[in-house]
Amino acid sequence: MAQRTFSIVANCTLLFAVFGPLVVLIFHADQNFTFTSADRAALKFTLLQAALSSLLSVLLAWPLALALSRRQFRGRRLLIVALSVPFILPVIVAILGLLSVFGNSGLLNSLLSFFGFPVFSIYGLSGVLLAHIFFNIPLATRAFLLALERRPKELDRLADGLNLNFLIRFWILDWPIVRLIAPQIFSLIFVLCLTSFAVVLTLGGGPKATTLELAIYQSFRFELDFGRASFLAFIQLSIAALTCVLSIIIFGLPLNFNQSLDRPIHKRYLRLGSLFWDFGIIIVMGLFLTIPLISVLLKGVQNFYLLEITIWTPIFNSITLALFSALISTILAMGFMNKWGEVIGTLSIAVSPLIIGAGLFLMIKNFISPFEVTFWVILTVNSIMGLPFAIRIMRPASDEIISNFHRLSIAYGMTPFAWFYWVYLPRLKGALTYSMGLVAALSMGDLGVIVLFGGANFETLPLVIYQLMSAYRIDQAMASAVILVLISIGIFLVFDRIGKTRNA
Amino acid sequence: MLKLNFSFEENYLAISANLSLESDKIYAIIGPSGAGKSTFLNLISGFSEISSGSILWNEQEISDLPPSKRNISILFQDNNLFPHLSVWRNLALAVSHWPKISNDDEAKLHSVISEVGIRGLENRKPSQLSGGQQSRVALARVLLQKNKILLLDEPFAALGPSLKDQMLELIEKIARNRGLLVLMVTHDPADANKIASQTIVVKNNKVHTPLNTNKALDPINGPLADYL
Repeated sequence: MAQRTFSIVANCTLLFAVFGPLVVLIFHADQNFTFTSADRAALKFTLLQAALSSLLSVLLAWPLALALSRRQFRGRRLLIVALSVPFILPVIVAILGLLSVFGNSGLLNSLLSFFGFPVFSIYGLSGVLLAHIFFNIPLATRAFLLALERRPKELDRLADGLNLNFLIRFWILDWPIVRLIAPQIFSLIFVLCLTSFAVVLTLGGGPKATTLELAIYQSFRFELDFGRASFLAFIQLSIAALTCVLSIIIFGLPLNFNQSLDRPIHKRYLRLGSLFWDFGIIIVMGLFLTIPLISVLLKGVQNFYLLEITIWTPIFNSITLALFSALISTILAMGFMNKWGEVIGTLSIAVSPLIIGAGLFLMIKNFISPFEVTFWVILTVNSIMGLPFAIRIMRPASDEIISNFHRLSIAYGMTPFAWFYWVYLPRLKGALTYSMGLVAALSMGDLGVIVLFGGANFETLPLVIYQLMSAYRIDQAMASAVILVLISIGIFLVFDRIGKTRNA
Repeated sequence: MLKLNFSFEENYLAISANLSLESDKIYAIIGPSGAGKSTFLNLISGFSEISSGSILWNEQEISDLPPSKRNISILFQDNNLFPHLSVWRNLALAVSHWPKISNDDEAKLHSVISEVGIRGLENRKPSQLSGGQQSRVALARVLLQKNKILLLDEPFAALGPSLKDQMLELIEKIARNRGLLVLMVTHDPADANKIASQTIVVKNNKVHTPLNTNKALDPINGPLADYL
């Protein structure tokens, strides 16, 4: 059947595009490589920051989720929607935001020095942790919230009726959820932080705060020591894959966190103390998650006059990349509408884009200068990175179409083409455009492989912002960041709009 | 003549059948829930495969053919129409997969639209139709397929009593005009009494040979006495 053929083609494409670079990378690994003290430090720092980031995210997300689950207030829904924003927010924008609040001349340090306290440095471990929890608290909160809202409301009423105290209540009602969800979230965030690149590139660095990912990038880009880079990549890949596989074996495939969260909440009697505690948490976390963004947007808009005409080319490059990778990811994803897709989607977070990019670099460097085909390399990597998201989004919709209408299409005697054209595609449209919007937004904000390859002949908007930052032209960087956010969210909303038109 | 002589086994269900059905009659199928009435229809139409035996239509083996080649149309309990397509497109797809259909096909569509009484609704989506209208469109679809056997898997179960009766009358009229063999699963003995002279009882893992409907539904001595 045509669908099967396509599925096989899609699988082969992915295998070639992912395993090709990985195999090449492994073959390049230096056989006689010895671990230097710098490498050991990088390994240690990688594990330390990943563990601390996930631990802090989980610890801070739990009270926030609990507070959100039991308090009704104006703006609650808005706040919950806002929790999904960091997901499509370009990393570099969030970093600028954090810098503007926690940076050397940021809001926090102005206050600290005003009151005569020592200043806080965002560079190094503290900055990396700050950025990682900024991105991952919302993720963890959504996961906890989803589990909390699925809990039968009768349990809460029962606990109210029995007038259980705080500790017993936690033990009986909340602990089972924490025990189920927290380890999954922890391992997911752990892997994400293991391979985090842009955050460590901008806020880390130096002998004390270098991760494996950053070390790979540095030996690739500056030392041109491919053997060392490949060896480190191999180590990083092993750790990430091991974490993923262990997590799947122990906890099963991760839950789907993309579900809507707008169930009415169960109102109940709570003591005044817990009222203050809950709103305290909501306000503090709400401020932590929003002030950096508001700050970067405000400062950026004030500095619009600094923008130069040369920014048009990177804008154009970024949009082109975003649209094409969205298209490729989404089309490829249609070949993975099966159990395989789920597994690949989960395992693929273990493979960092940088490693694939590095592998592709080594693969093609004997034939053509990789810097001449930057666009194609980045398009490939972004498409692969978007694939798991596209699969996750479209799979439930696809299953539903098949279970509702496949039988009818057989009764009609439809050919596979007719089925695809008249039924599958039109009915998948909503999920399809949502997936394209999401992948486009992710690709738009991506600051990964482009740093490895990008240079004078090909620049994207996030790369330009990074270069401006490195050159201490923060005001101009912030102005460009506003443009980036507007385009990212704009693309996402446009696709969302397309998906919602003319649907029965 | 449809000759059924087969058995089917699955995890929780086994049924066997050995009966012959006449080409232009309406048969009701009645039996307890879970006895395998829907499965029976799925086996005839090819959505499930028989474990052994044969299905002969006019002396031709059809059990190894795909559903669309068996000369059989089926109306399901639900999802009989594509909700995102207009009534016209839902019907047009039964005759051609191309966006533009020929004049001949167009004439066929118009004639069936009159036959089932849905003129004027061609541009609507299924969600803009009443339940009765949706049933008529679904019926129009199977009529366009020009198959000689029509299977009804309780497609009118969600309709109110008077609408359901209207549909049954329509089915009876069409079946008579076109000489169709109709097999109708139902929960309601009244449906069987209304249009089916013969009734097939499905019970105890067996599809029984058709009985006169009056006899099959006899509440005291009939085979379904404990069910009714």
